[in-house]
Amino acid sequence: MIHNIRVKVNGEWVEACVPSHRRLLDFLREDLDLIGAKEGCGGGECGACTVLVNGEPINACLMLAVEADGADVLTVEGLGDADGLDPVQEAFVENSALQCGYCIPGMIMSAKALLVRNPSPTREEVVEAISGNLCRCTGYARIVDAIMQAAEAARAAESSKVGGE
Amino acid sequence: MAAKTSYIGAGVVRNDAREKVTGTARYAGDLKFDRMLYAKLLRSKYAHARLVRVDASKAAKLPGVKAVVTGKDFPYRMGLYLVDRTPYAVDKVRYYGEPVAGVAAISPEIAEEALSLIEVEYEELPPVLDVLEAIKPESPLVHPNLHEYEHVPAIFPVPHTNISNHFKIRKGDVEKGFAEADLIVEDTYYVPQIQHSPLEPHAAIALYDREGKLTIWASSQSPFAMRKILSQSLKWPMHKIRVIGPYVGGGFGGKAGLNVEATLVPLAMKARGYPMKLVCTREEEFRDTFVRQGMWCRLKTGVKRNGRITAQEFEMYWDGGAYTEYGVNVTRAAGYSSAGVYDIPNMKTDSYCVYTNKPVGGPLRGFGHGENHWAIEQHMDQIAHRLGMDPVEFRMINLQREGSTNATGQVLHNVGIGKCLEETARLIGWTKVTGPGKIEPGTKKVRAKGIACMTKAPAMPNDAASTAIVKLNDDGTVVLNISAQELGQGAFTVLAQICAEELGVRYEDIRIYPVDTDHGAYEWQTVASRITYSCGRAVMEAARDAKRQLIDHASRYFGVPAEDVDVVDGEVFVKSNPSRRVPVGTLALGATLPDFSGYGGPVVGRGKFIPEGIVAMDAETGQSPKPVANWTYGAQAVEIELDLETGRIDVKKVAAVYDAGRVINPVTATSQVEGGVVQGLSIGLFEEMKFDERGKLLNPSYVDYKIATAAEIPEMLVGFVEVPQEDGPYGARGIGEHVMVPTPPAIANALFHAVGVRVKRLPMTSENVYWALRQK
Amino acid sequence: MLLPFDYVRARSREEAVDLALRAGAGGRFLAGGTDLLVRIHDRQLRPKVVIDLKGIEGMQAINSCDGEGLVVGAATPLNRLIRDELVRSRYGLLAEAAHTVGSVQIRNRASLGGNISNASPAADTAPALLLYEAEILTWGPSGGRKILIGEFFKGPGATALGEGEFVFKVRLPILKERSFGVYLKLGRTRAVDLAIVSVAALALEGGEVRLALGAVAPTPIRVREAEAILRNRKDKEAIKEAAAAARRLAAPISDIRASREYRLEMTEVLTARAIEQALAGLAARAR
Repeated sequence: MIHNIRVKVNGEWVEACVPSHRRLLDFLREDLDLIGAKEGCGGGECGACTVLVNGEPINACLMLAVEADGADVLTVEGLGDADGLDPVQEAFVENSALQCGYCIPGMIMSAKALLVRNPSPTREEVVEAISGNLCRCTGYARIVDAIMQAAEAARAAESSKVGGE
Repeated sequence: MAAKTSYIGAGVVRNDAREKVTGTARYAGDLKFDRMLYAKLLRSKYAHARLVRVDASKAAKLPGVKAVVTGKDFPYRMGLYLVDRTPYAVDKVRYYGEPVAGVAAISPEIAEEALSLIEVEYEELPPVLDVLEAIKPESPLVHPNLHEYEHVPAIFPVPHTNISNHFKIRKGDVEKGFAEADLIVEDTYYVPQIQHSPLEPHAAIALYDREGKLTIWASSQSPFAMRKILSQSLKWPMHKIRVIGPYVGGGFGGKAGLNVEATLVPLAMKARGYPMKLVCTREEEFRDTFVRQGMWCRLKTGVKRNGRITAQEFEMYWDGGAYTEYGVNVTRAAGYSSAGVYDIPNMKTDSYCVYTNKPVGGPLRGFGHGENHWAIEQHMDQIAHRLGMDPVEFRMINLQREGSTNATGQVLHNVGIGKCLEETARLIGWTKVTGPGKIEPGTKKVRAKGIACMTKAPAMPNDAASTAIVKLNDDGTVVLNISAQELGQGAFTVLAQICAEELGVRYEDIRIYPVDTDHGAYEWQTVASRITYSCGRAVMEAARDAKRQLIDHASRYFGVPAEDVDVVDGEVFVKSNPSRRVPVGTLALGATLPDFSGYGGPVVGRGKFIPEGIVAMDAETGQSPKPVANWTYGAQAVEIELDLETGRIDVKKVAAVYDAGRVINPVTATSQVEGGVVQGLSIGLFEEMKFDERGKLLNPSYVDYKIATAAEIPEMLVGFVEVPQEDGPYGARGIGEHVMVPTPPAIANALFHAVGVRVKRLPMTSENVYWALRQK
Repeated sequence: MLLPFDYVRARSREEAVDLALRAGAGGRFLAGGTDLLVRIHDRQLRPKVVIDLKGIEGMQAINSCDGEGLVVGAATPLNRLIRDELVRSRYGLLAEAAHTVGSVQIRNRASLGGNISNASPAADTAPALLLYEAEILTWGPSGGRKILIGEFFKGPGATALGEGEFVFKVRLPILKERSFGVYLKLGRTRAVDLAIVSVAALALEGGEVRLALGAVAPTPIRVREAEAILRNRKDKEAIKEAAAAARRLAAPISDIRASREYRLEMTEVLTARAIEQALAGLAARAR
């Protein structure tokens, strides 16, 4: 069965025909060439395919493309802009919070969702937010550091903005 | 004059970071080509069975299927050290999951449907699943034709047995050594098969084109080795095979040598002109790619009352799995390092690689050392306990030091283990062990500390070499052509630092591109923690060569002697008159002299490295004055909290100190240690491949093969010692594998200090620890 | 990659049932998909039709009805449940238990109805629902019906649901007394794991202590015999007896995650801890 869907992906509406069994992950990677989200296990255990749907992190391997009809989907490619990186990405770079990089797009999307919901997380809250994102290389410590730093940077930017107005 | 920036010892930002945080970094599975096909493999449902009939004719007729192969179509044996493995099973299957047939089709759905149309008739044979059973004379043979297999000279198969390698150490006189001992301690230890579990599953794309050239894009640590194995096996000239290696999403040894790529070759040859992609499912990744070998061992040590070790006898039996083409070398490496970090005058070691009907054993970060150190480092604590000595004190007495000999009889120099152990003990706050751990008030929990040491050398052929080519562009940027792989370990960053340092350009201006065996500088493999050491030396030499050319150009350009010219931060200048300066790009393609004549030509530096003077070990005794390129030492200590009622161990703190010789990048080096510690913790507490009685893997998923999540991480204190490696760049040596080796025995030792219970079998799951507590 | 099937989004309860009956054995209901799609991915299931329930009105709503407690749409993602103020304040044990399901990503999709409909003995929300004495409101070929949670689970993977019937809502009766609940889950890792053993304890101000176990019997079970021991006594000895009773009532199996024997031992350990913590929590709340 084929479905016509309309999905907002990284801020732009996309119309497409997808078969019922097409996963959101395959739709993003194969149909839209957005290869940032990775398939690590296909079973919702590793988090490498994490993207945000209506602002919430989900495993794109466990959602059908047709289920995303009408939804707002954000992938790692939608972060930052032509001028620069998102503060979360920036913090990952500065902290060398990555090694092979395969888990990183998913990790960053989990972090992004956390910071939108909770701009001042504790380390424990950061750990919980990324405990569904497996990483075999880094030992996680730097990733937690990076997310804490990104939160701090965002708060600093926010307070300076308020102060300027 | 610009201040010279030193990049050596600088924690520069990784040069792959931006690509990786934006999702633009490409891995093999991200690549796509026109007319690309999708390959899938039909895998054996038996651990050991004769293939009576494989009929793929119906699959071949399915619309959309472009190629179908079975073992009979491609009966070529392959292997790095022992040529024992065919890409598809030919006459019999030797593990549950072995490829029996392959299909390439226009969609993955069609490929899978085609697999279901292949008919296979098996005649089940008794599976050989236990390594100790497999060595008995009456055991069925996994490879009855072992005696016909080709192998490298350093490997010693025992014909008409399941033993594919028998490595021996005979040093001194063990009988005399034991006779001199006041105390003899003997015990057995076991590690199960485990999986590397990189987040990126194996992926490859193969194309056999109209000119008869085979191109493979692969997630691989070993593009050149892959080319060589294929060329030797197929008897094709090397130039007919090209391997391209994009970023690797984690390797840990599992992507070394030749892997699933081999199954694509016959498919590609049948569907000429079609690129085809194979990506392992997580299930396949767990079961059908290399795994770490299991190992059962018996260790016996004699010691004087004063703590001095007099003799050691070590027998290791490795559960090598169905094919041991790579695994044989793991068993060799674990054999020649069987003294660990200790100076033991009399030794007898027998390390046996044994075939079983289980997944294929191969290299995994640590290459045999996580396994033998699991035994050695617990054993040392056991001896210390029996002698009534503190574990650190006992180790200090026996540590290798200047002039000591190791298992191979090699006389050692510049040994950093003493400093590593001291610093580790300091970081964890080690106090002399005086009795069981203290129960935390108001809880059922007890805290304790444990410590362990390690050493490892690169296990590689004596001619494992590296090359580097440095090309200057006229915009001042530099192309560093090397074929080390970026697996996440930070090779590209460190090699760019070395290049920038030697050439006098900015680190940011150095570009490294994906490996391509057709035009890339040669590199043996990205394994054995050897890249900083070996490729680093090649880069150093290439950059120096390029700099000489640049200075030569500048000397003529400025009309001053070469000695009066230098290159710093991307500018070439006259030392006696620093206002005379030009960007390196001006002189990159040669110098244009005042009379407008040209001089020199484009700068291309070349560098190469091969570790020299390595002498093959004696076949009977394993003795050699220099058996390996170098030894890296390190120590780790842990502090655990044990829940006495559930058996759960929480690792609270880890201190880790390694002798890196020279730390090129403290950030990437520390990051390596942190990652290694957590992988070690994960292996120590959670990881085990479990099989049913017929050899089927029961936990090929993250649901039931748990690896550490972010919730498991301890506080990590990382330190480095810098005892220079004579032939390493700036004194550097590798640490990549070493960092996960001592974590499990350190945890086991802490457990003993907590409650006097020893778990000699990995993993130390809550349940395993609980029963050990109950048996006390 | 999944193998082909048809997806239909049901617009009403009636349509969902109709679609399911027409599909017969080839039909599967979809809510969050975190179990169904995994099983399809692993080739354990090959449905012909997947019927999405999320479009049905009320399936993702949380409503408080005066005097009736709380009614939760079965397709409500667990994270929405966990974040709901009413759930947190009145049914904290359920929020706590739901919080231990999978990862953040999983909880953003996995639903309360799905968690119980799969009828895993280890379903994390089940012990809490047993203790709150939830009512499962279903919809099927003969319309709506109400199943008490204690009668809902029939065995591993088996429920009281009939053909074409699905969980529509879960009703949590009002708890008139002050209470404090504790959910203890022993997994292999500290996060994102299935329970080897789980124990829920709910201490009520009137003196009752309710206890339920997960992963140690063919279904999640409430252990009333153990509860009875604590009816009038709350001392250390009584807690020990109750924990021993819980162990007697457990009937675990050995599997890849743990042995039967370890599960039995841990049932006792965790039950004692859960009771202690629930009583302490209630006492603190009363102060």
